[in-house]
Amino acid sequence: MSKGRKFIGIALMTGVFLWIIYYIVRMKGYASMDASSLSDEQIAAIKNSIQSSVIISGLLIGGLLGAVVQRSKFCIAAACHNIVTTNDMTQTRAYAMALFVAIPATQLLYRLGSVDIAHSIYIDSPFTWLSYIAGGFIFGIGIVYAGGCASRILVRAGEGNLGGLVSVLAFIFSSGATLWGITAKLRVDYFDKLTLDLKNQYLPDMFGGVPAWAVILVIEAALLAFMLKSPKESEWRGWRWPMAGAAIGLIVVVAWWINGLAFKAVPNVDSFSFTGPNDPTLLQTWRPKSLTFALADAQTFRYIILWTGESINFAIATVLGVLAGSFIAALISGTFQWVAPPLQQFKYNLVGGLLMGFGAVLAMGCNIGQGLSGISSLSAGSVLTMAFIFFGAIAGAKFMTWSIMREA
Amino acid sequence: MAELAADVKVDCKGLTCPMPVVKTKKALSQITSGQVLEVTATDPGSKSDIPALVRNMGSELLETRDEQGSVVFLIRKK
Repeated sequence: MSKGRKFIGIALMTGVFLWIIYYIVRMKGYASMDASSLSDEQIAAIKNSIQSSVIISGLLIGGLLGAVVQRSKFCIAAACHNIVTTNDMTQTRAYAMALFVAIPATQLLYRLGSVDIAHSIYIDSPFTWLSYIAGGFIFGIGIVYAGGCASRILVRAGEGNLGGLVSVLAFIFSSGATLWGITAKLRVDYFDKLTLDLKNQYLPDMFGGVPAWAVILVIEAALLAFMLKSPKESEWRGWRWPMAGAAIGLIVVVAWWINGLAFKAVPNVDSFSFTGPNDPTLLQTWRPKSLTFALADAQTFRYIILWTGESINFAIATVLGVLAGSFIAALISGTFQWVAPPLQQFKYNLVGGLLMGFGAVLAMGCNIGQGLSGISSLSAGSVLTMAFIFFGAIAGAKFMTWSIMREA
Repeated sequence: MAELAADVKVDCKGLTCPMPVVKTKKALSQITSGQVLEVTATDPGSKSDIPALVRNMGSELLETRDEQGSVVFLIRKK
């Protein structure tokens, strides 16, 4: 890639990042304001501004994620199955780096009162252990066959790969069915029935008496030890792995930040409709969140094909952002290329996408939602889900290797 | 440098990660020591994955070159 293109790319990514920071600063103002002396028109204007700030940041954050994934080659699917396929742990180190950045920063924002992760779905949900285990495992098999996770297949579609597009469409189809349709009944009536009675899912609360900072310190030390352990000479031809991981971790943190602040800001200008952070209507639309693709792909599709009565939200904006960001990054770097995979790959893309959609909705998140956003909130369910995504990917890779070795 | 003649060729064009790696692994297990394998791939991940696989299988990557949107690897089995 020429120096000029590289410069344009770096300048664009930096610009987008600063633009996101601008929205965070603006939202910080709304989150701490006293609206009692404002007129109705002023309040209405602020409400609109909160809404549009969240949506535009969603587009920008998605765009940045798409561009970073496209350029850096960061891939959590590979981080899971490379232990079987190439035996190279560089991607796994990059993932560890993302967590190393995202966990303490998210926890700090929680302690400072900016992001109320205790009200996120990762912490404030029943511990549906069977759904986490089964969903994670099925999703894990799916990412091997689709050749990437829920965000990677979007990026692949964005850089012109028709197999990636097939995976995205299959994912939308099966995740939508599991969210609202025919397989949703299966999920609700069987899998989600099995829960463990926990007060909440916050990991540090489960080691009775141990302060949260000590738990975080142990996790950080373990991640650091893993990253430093035998860092073999890497063959990775993307960004250097610490850089790729840190960039992804930072994107997760800014996504938490903007949504956490919006959750605080909304009741400030609407104290009439919302009684407090536990208000069900408030939680329904403004629950603190970060990146997630499990439900977002299907919601995006629904938003586009129905339009009437549907409204755009942060998750939909990030999906559109990822598609646009990866497309632009591929164009600028000269790596956009229409690719039509051979038949066998098409079949794998289809099956992988279907498995991923079912698994992701069952487990309430993919490897981004549970594996990055959820784990950075220190949710027990997220750690369990991610462990089974990892096992599923290993099982999927072993099975794929075995079946291809058998072919004549 | 003179073009090296490959004994076996594997076409992984259009295949996405981890398929090219698995196909390369299979081909490497089928050729004999000293033979040269040529792998053509289009997946961006292959640029890192194939060299990593070759190193971890103890074989030698003789050459990597870009060719009309694909990457071609020449690998000698040790």
